[in-house]
Amino acid sequence: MRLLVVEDEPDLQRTLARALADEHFAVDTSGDGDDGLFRALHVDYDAIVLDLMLPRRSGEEVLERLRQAGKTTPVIVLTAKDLGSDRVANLNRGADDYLTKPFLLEELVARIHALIRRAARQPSPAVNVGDLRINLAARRVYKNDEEIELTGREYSILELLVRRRGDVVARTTLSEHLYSDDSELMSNAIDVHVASLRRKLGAAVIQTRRGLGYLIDG
Amino acid sequence: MVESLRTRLLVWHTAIVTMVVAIFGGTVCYLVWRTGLSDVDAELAARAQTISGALRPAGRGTFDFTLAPADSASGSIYHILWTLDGTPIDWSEEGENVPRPSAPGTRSRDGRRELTVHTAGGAVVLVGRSLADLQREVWSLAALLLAAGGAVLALSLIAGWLFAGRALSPITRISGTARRMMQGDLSARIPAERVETELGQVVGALNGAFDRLQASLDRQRRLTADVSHELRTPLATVSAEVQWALGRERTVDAYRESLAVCRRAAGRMQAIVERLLTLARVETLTNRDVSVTVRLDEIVGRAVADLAPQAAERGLTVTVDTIPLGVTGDPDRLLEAITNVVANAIAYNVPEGRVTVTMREHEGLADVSIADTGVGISPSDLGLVFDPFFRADHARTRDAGGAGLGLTLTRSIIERHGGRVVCASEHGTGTVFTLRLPFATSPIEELALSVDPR
Repeated sequence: MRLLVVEDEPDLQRTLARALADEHFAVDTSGDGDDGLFRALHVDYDAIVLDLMLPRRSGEEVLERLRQAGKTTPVIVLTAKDLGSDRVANLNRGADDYLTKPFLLEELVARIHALIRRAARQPSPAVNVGDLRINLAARRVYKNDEEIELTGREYSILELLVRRRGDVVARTTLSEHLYSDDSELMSNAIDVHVASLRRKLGAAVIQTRRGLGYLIDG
Repeated sequence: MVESLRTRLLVWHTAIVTMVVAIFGGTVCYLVWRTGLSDVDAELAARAQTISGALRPAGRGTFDFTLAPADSASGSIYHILWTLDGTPIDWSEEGENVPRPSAPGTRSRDGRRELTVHTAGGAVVLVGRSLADLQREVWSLAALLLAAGGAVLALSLIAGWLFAGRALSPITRISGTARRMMQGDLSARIPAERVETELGQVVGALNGAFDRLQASLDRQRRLTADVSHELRTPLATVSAEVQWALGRERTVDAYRESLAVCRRAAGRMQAIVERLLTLARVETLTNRDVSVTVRLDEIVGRAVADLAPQAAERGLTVTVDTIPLGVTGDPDRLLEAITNVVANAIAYNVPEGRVTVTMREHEGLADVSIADTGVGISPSDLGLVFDPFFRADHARTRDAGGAGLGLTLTRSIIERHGGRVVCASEHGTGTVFTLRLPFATSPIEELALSVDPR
C-alpha cells in the first residue's frame, strides 16, 4: 500500500515516514502544498496523510484541488487545528478522516487501514479466499487455521490482489502501490514475489493473465 | 431609603409640584380674603358715615337719631350707637348685645367685622357685619383651588412617571447590556437609537469600552489558540518519535537520532515559550521601566553588527545609514525590536540580496527603515504580519521563520515607546519596515552608552 505524507515539519515528516514504513506501507513524503498536490494528482496513492498549515499551498487548498480534479484517494487530515469547526470544514472539503496532533501512531495506522478497507468496499478486515483466511487488520494469513509466514512485500501483493478481487491487476499498478519513489526497483521484483507467494499459498490462488497482470478470482 | 431612581425622581417632582400648588393656592386665597375684607371695611365706613350724619345732638348728652327712609335699608350691616359714657342711643336688631369697644377703629370679632367711630357730636357709632359670606367665598375658592391643584398634581405625577421612565429607559438598556456582557455575551452592545445627548455620550463611551474589551479578549483568545497550535506540532513530533522508537527494538543510531529529534522539538517549544514570556513582559511594561535616554543610532548599529554573521552566511549586502538621535526608553527592548526586523530582512531575502537600514528624522519622529530585497508580502497578508505566529506561508517555510512572534514583539515594544511600526511591501521587489519613534531632545553628547559593550 502506497501512502503520501504531506507535512512541512521535517522531523515529524521523517518520523511518520519511518513509522509507516514499519507498517509495510510504501511512503512518499512532501514538505509543501504545491509538491504534495502535484504528487497526489499524478500518483495513484492508496491514502494521503495531509497537514493543513503548509507552506506555498494550504492543506485545505490541496484537498479542494484534489477533489475538483476528481481524485477519490482517501485523505486523512493530520493537523494541530483542533476546533470542531475546522474538522467540519475539512470533512466537508472532502477529507475522509481527521486526526489532531499530538496523536497515537497506532491510531493513525489503524485509521489509514480503515480508510483503505473502506475505499476498497471491504469494511470487514477478515477475508476468505478458498481455504485461505486473511486478516487485513492484523496482516496475517491462515491456511486451514495454520498461520503462513509472509514477507512484507508478499503480504502487500496478496492484500492488493484481494482488495481488487476479480480484477486483473497490472504489474505496474502493483509496483506503484508497493514501492515509494525512493525504492530501487528490479524489473522482475513483482514476479519473484508472486512466485514465492504461490509456493507458500498454493499455485491456484493467484492466476496469471499473460500480458495483463495477476488476478485472484472473486 | 427609596432605591429606584425613577421613584426618587418622582418623589422630588411631587414634592416640588405640591409646594408650588400650595404656595399658589395659599397666596390666591389670602389675596381674595384681603380684598374682600377691605371691601367690607369700605362698606362699613360708608355706613358709619351715613349713620353719623343721621345723628343730631339734642343737648345734655342726648341725641336725636332718625334714619332717612332711603338709608334705613342696611343690608346685612347692623349698628349700635352709644353716648360717650356708654348709654345706648339706638341699635339695630343684631347690634343689641355687641360689647362696646374701648377705642375707635376696626376689629374682627367672632366671625364679624366691626368699625367704631367717634362722631364730632360726642357719640360712639359702631357698625358691623358678619364675615360668613366672605369666608364661604374664600373657602369655596380654596376648595376649587385644591381640586384643580390635585388634578394638576395627579397629571404631573403621571407625566413625571412616564417621562422619568422614558428618560431612564436607556439606563435599563445599559444595565441589561452590561448584565449580558457579564454573563459572557461579549458581542452585546447598547442600542444607540433614541438616546438623548448626555446618555448618548455615556452609551458611546461604554460601547467603545466594550469594543476594546472584546477586541482584547479576542486577541487573547486568538493568541492562546495560536500558541496551542504552535506547540502541538513539536509536541506531536516528540510524541510520534518516542512512540516509534519504543515500538520495537531499534539500533543505537536510531535511538540517537530519535533523541536528537526530541531535542530539536524541545528547543522549538522553548523558543515559543520564551518569546511568549517576553511578549507578556512587554505587554506589562510600564512607563517607569522605560526611562533612559539612549542613542538610537547606536542601537541600530548594534542590531546590524549582531546579525552580520547571518547576513554573510546568506551572501547579503547590508548597508547602514544613521544620524545621531537619542530616544528615551529601554535600550535592551529597543535592540530586540530592531534586531527582530533586521533578522527578518535577512531570513526572508533572496540569496545575494540587499538589506538597507536607514535612519532619518521625519515629521518630528525618528524613522528607522529596514528594507529587504525579498519576495515581498502579498497585500492580503500585509495587515497580518504583526499577528502572533503569522507566517507568509505561501513563500516561506518554517525553517526560515522563528517562533513567529518577532514582529508582534517589535510592534509591542515600539508602541510601548510611543511609536509605531508601518510595513510596506511590493511583491517581488521587497519589504520595508519603518519603526517611527519619538526622539529625545537632550544634547547627544550627554547621553549614556546605549547598550552594554559586549
